[in-house]
Amino acid sequence: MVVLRAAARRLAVFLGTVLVASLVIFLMMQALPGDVAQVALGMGASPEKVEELRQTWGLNRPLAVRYFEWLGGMLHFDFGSSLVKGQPVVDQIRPRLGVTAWLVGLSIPLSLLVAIPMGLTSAMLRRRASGALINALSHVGLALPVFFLGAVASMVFAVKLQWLPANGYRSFAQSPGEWALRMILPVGTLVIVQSCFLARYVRTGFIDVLSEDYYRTARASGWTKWRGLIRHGMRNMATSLVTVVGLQVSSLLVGAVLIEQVFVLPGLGSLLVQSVGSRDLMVVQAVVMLLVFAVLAINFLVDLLYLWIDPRLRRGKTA
Amino acid sequence: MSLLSITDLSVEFGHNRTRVLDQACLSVEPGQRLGLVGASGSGKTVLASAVMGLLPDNAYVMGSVVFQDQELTTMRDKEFSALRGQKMSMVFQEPMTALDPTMKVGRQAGELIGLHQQTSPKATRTRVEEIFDQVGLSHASRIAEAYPHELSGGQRQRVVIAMALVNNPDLIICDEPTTALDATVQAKVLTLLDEELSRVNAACLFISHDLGLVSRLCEDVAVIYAGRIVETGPTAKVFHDPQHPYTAGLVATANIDAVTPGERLPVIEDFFDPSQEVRS
Amino acid sequence: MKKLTLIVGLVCSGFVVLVALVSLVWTPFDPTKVSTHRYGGLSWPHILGTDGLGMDTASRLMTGAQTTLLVGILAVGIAAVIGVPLGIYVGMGHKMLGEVVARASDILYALPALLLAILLAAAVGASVMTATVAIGIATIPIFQRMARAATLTVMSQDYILAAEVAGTPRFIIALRHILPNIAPLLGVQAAASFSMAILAEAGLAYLGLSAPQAVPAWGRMLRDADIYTAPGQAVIPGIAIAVAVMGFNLLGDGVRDYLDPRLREVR
Repeated sequence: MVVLRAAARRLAVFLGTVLVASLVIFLMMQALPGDVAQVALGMGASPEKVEELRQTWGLNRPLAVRYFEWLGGMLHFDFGSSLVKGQPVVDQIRPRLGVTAWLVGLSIPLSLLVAIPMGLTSAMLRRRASGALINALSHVGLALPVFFLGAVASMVFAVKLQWLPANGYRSFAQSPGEWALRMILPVGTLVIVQSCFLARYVRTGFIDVLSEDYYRTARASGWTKWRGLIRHGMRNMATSLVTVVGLQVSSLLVGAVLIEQVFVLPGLGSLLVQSVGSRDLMVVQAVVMLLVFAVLAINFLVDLLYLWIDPRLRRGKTA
Repeated sequence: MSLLSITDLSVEFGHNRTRVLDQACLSVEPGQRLGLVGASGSGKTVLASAVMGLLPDNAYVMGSVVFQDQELTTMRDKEFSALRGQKMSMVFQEPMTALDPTMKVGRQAGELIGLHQQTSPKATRTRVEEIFDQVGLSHASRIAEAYPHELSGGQRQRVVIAMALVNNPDLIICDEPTTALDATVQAKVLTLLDEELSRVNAACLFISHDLGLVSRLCEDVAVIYAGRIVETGPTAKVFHDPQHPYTAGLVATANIDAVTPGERLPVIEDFFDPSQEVRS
Repeated sequence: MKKLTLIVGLVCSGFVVLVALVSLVWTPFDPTKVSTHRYGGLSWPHILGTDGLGMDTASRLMTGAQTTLLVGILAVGIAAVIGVPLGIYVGMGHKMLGEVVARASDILYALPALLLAILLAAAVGASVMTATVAIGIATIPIFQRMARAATLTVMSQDYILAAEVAGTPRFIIALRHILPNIAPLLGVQAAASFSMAILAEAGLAYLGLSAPQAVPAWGRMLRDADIYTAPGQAVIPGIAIAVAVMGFNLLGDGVRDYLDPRLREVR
């Protein structure tokens, strides 16, 4: 009951923030330099033609009307039409959503799979050479720009060794085998960098647990060092890790654009960068709104996850 | 044959090898209750941790600890872990932080059973509720479903004691088990400990700075000062006729009733000069 | 071990600073001079070769250190100058404003810096400055949160109460008692944010959202390098970025371990 009320409160905050964010994005797009109609018709178009298009698109109507129209459209997945290509924005977004979703959806769980044992080991063995080595490795991995690592991986495995295709994308539905081959390098690159980043938080989290009284209790109960730390440390360590992973997912939604660029993958981030380049504001507005929505949704999910992980938050006041 | 015998146990910490325990010798017979008294920082908790094998990684242990004919200082973590919670257990000072905040207390206690013997979940639950009931937690089944933050300090300490008792160990180490509790709760928990120790007939190493508690609970006492055991013997004898000046000081400063109002309170230094002791 | 962190950090970041300083007065060639000697290998006088436009890589690498440091200083500067006073102000107990700042900071914190940079580039055009400003803005919440949390701890100390009782103006309390107390913490954060800013700018430059080709900047050099024909031209700036990022990261960590007596003890 208390859990439900806490969850409902967070849902309300989430929806409210989405609404505010949509307004801010809409107004920002209006404030951007460049007339939408002018961009669509090209710089050579006559003022009369531009004015005519403004009328057809309803650009001369009050801001509030257009805002609510846009908002209403989005509720049934109508994001308007691209200014440059004329086709519905949603048709441009849909195929690219898959690429970004795969990149983020695969690399984050895989990174955790690498980062948790890595952080656990380097926390447990922090006074030995092996633990220090893992820590040093994660420092190096953290400093490598992801696009640089991707470029090097592509050079080695695609160009020199010719084991894997260097770039391009096939959807999973088209050919699962080809898809998998083309995902190995980009996802692998992301996993290396992300896991080094996350491992440092895992390490700190576990080191904190090691000095906690309840870890000593667990040891006195008959847990061995490692098993006790996993059993009683994981959940407690997770309370600090969840936020970081949430932020990581958010930043990767856009950040994946770097790896998309290296391996020429048609993802959401690339679409955004291209549309900014061609001043296709309808697409920019839609993609930004989508990304912001995703970021806020992830925040909301992280909040819910907290309620599940940390029972202390479930009752009464929230932290 | 002693249950636990500690010989020349020394513990040093860190790179500069700070010695916190210096050639301590102690033995505990089966069923015996031995108090260990000393000021804070005297090495009481380090001694307990060394016996339990729970010292941090940067501690160096020398000497020998033999428990039930097994040498503990060189024992591998896996075998040692099989003893902990089963043959020897520990009650900690701070009930507020001794329990995992993310796990229901019933499950934490149940884990102790599952770690050392094969039981069904149902049998485990029954045993947990039985021991919770035993340590005076009313509505044991409801308490078992609670998280630590939902319990009071006294309730938590009862849970910790229940966990220490659940496998009927031969030795229970209590490290200032009542210091963090309110005075009224303190008395109740102490009575409980007294009864339960008699019931399961376990030996106890009772660590405290409170001479009153020790004389109520333990037939024998050891006095520790600056990492050294300075005096050992029957409680009544040690407290009435202390042989070591430090013990004499400890007894006199604890015995406030003996002071006439208006008179200066005695301090340890009236009886004992620490600087001389260090040199000897 | 802990000392090693600090030493490696100092050496790496110090090296970058030194190179940047030297490049102010001397580089082997003009870093922006185009020549016909394209994709030259590692040979005298172009010791690190030349890029696709025949510009000397060594000179561009050296001058690029300036860009890197400038980006770090400006981004962290923007974030600290706005975030820290806001954090202190809210931390000293302004309830209404506190709630608003907390919400806004939450949203900004969750928004990826890259998204902000792309939007800013769309609005005013891509340049090192827009990229840096975007990174700086995205970093504000980190400083605001840290300053607020640290201020709350300091505010509960007795000497603050004593100062308040004595009638010291709040501004003076903030300046004389709070800022000096939280400064070490902020300094450590600044080093970490510095390296994050360098990494972020390199990414933006790689996407073409920061430095134009003429400006010598490491991320941009990576973008313009053809990794298949002249891999060295990509590897060299890549390593430079990694050294700078790691240097400032380790510097921050090292200083933190040095300052935090609790951590020092466990060593």
